[in-house]
Amino acid sequence: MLEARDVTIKYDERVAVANVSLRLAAGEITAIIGPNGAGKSTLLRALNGQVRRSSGAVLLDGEPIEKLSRRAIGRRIAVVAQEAELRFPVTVLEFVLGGRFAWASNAGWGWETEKDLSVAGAVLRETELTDLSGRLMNELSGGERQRAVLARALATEAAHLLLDEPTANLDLSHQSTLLSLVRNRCDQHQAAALVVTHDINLAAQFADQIVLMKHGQVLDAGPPQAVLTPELLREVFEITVLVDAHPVTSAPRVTPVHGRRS
Amino acid sequence: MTTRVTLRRTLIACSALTLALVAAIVAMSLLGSEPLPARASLCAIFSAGTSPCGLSRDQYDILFQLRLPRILLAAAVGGSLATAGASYQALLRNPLAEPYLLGVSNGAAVGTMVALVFFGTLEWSRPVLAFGGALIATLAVYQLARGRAGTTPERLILAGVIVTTFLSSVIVFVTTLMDATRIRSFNFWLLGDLSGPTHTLLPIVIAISVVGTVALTLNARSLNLLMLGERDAFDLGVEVGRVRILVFVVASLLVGSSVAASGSVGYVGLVVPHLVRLSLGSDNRISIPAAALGGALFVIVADTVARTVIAPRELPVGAITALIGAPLFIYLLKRV
Amino acid sequence: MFSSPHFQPKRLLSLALALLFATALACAPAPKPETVTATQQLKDDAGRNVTLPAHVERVITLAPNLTEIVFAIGAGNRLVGDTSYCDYPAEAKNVAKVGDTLHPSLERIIALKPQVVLISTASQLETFTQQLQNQNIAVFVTDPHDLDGVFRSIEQVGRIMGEEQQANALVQKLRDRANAVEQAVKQEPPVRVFYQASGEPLYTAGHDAFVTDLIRRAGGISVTAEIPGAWPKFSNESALAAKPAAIILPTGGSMGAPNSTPAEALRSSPAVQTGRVYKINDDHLARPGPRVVDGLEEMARALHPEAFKQ
Repeated sequence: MLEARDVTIKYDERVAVANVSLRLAAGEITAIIGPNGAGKSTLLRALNGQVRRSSGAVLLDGEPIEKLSRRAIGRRIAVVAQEAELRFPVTVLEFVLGGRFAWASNAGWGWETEKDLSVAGAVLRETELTDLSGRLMNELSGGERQRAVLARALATEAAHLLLDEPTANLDLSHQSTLLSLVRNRCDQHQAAALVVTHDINLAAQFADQIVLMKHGQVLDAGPPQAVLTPELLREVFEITVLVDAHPVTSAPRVTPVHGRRS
Repeated sequence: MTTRVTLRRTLIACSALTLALVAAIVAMSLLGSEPLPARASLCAIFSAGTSPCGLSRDQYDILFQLRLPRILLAAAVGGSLATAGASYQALLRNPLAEPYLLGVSNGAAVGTMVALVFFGTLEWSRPVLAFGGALIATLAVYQLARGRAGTTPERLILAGVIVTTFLSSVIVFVTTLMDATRIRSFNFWLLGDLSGPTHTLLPIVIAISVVGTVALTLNARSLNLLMLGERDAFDLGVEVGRVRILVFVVASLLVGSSVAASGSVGYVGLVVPHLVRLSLGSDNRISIPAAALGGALFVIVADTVARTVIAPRELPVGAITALIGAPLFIYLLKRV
Repeated sequence: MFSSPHFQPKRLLSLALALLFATALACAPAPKPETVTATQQLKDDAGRNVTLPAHVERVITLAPNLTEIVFAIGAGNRLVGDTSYCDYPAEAKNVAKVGDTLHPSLERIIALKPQVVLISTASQLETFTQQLQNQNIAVFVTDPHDLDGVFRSIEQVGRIMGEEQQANALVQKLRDRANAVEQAVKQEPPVRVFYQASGEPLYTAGHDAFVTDLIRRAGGISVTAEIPGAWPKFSNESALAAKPAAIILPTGGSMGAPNSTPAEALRSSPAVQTGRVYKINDDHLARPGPRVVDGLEEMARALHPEAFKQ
């Protein structure tokens, strides 16, 4: 279980995250929504130990995250973020196998085991990349690359998935596919997922919990129906919205009303 | 490369390269400015020097006191520089990173010069101060390159160019303070000179070359991930800070010991790792040891050319590595 | 007065102009008789035809050997600038310094207003000579490849400085001494010599170095006499295989103490084994000037001690 307790993060004088507490429950997708600069990504990065906190605690299965080695963290938390530019040729399979690093018994000159290969194979099937496994990453389309990044994260078999804007730059179909995969993982393997996203409606469809952040603070947290109200959204985004129910899925549907500022 | 690198492929490739290296050592020991009888020489070599096999005293001395030590030094220097280059390229995610460009070679050269000028009689002072100079240059580059968003490879290369050009000026400055006779010999050394005495430095350079290559190979899997992105590597469990320090220190040792023994031999750290990656793939578990072996081969051959083509005069080996390396590099760039 | 009937402005004006003109003429400097600066033409060792003043009052030397030559022929009082390495004779140290042999200061040279600058090719001053010539300063290059070349340099400098008599007398004395040496060693078999210009890295004297000629005259034969070039970097193997009977180490002098031990590769040579390693003052061998004959004598005495027993 991954938990943030009263976390504050300051850069010099600027407060990026203020007294935020958050708990990721197994089998649930939690989405963080908020304007740019709300501290969403910073909070995500604090949850995997990359960003140092000014105060508060991050606990992974009850232990403070600083006490754990990177490999121990890597076995339990996986991150899906914008992929860095690849300057060396690497195949999809090699890329996905990178996710098995945290499980290597010999992290130095260790070689992939049968288990590593079978996990990678399963994950490639799950993300429908098996046919592309021998191709170079640079030859894939944006959507396929993002699926490979997710596949790598899934290959870590981590119980916690942190996704930072995973659907940015993806077309509609790929957005849906990606989050469906996350949903599957949470349902079938009881993983806990945290998704930072700008897409409110996508979050409404897939998330079990939504956290609204602004200026580093959590304004509200709870199921989509409870949190996605016009009043709260106006407070967060300073824009008028209309919230109704999606005709097919009955998830909350948020439609901005442009031209009418409150 | 669409086939995955496995332990088996690695062992096969490295064994082949090791055989080629041994063959090269034996073959190049038959070449030099003084002709040696081939059969007798081979016999003497395979007897590990215990039997002269008909070689005269002088021929024996030439073979075992001069030629073989020089060839072994060439191998150690070549291996060290290629391994350092391969590691920098992986850590900095830039196929163009190499010891010279990052200022490490020049740092080592300045260290060696300080040792020569102030501690001339102490032979140990040269590799020690060269290592110090290389490390200081590395740290200077790293500090210079730190920006608010962390140290991107672009900033690192830029900082490296600044440090390297600054140190070049320092070298030129110190050279002009030297007297005319020493300038000529020093300029020769700056271009790479494997003819120096090898008794004390050779074992040091070989030891560092082997230990350094092993140390870096043992972190190859981490380097594989680092090569794809520092943040991603961190997320996947790599102790990024620790690996970075290790690469910097070990690479400085490798470059420092090589420069102290033989001046700046350029292009090895750039061309050899590239050639290796093109033929064997980017996986560091194979490309670092293969680069070490390939670098050794490259410099042995280049040095043989340097010491035979205008015999009994000699050319600086760095001139040959540049003459071979530059066109080769252009060819590689066009293919990729 | 202006309205006087006898006053005519036009005539006044022309009178004034005529007066002005006459004054101007009277004040003009008398045309100098055309000064033809007497010149002399000499061909230097770079094959250039150099035009210099016939009488040189101010000369600058850019190499220690040239400084020694200028003083030796009695023209030292006309030396207005030399290099930081010029330390012989003692008076040379008091002459204004223009820098070192490789990078002298062009500004200082020009400020000292020399009429001619003497250069040794050791300075490698291609672009430099062009700039001096642009300032109408004559540049004369000396580049002796053997002892006769050194004597010719002395004679050339003698001609330039107008001290032919002194120069010729000096050359005669030096020639006599050199001939005496050659006579003394004529009977002895020549000794195989390795000239170690620098040990680490190993540099030696090649075909074009004048030291090679000196060695020959001293009763030796340089094992590297046929190697092309003046100061080639030499292979350790070939040095070992050459097995010289004697090794000359130019050391000491103004360059200090490096190069005072034979190179590793020569350790097993007959020279080292029999202790025939001779240190000779570098200044007597590296500077193609009057003192090379000292070097010649020292080498000859070292190589053939019996020939000089009185």
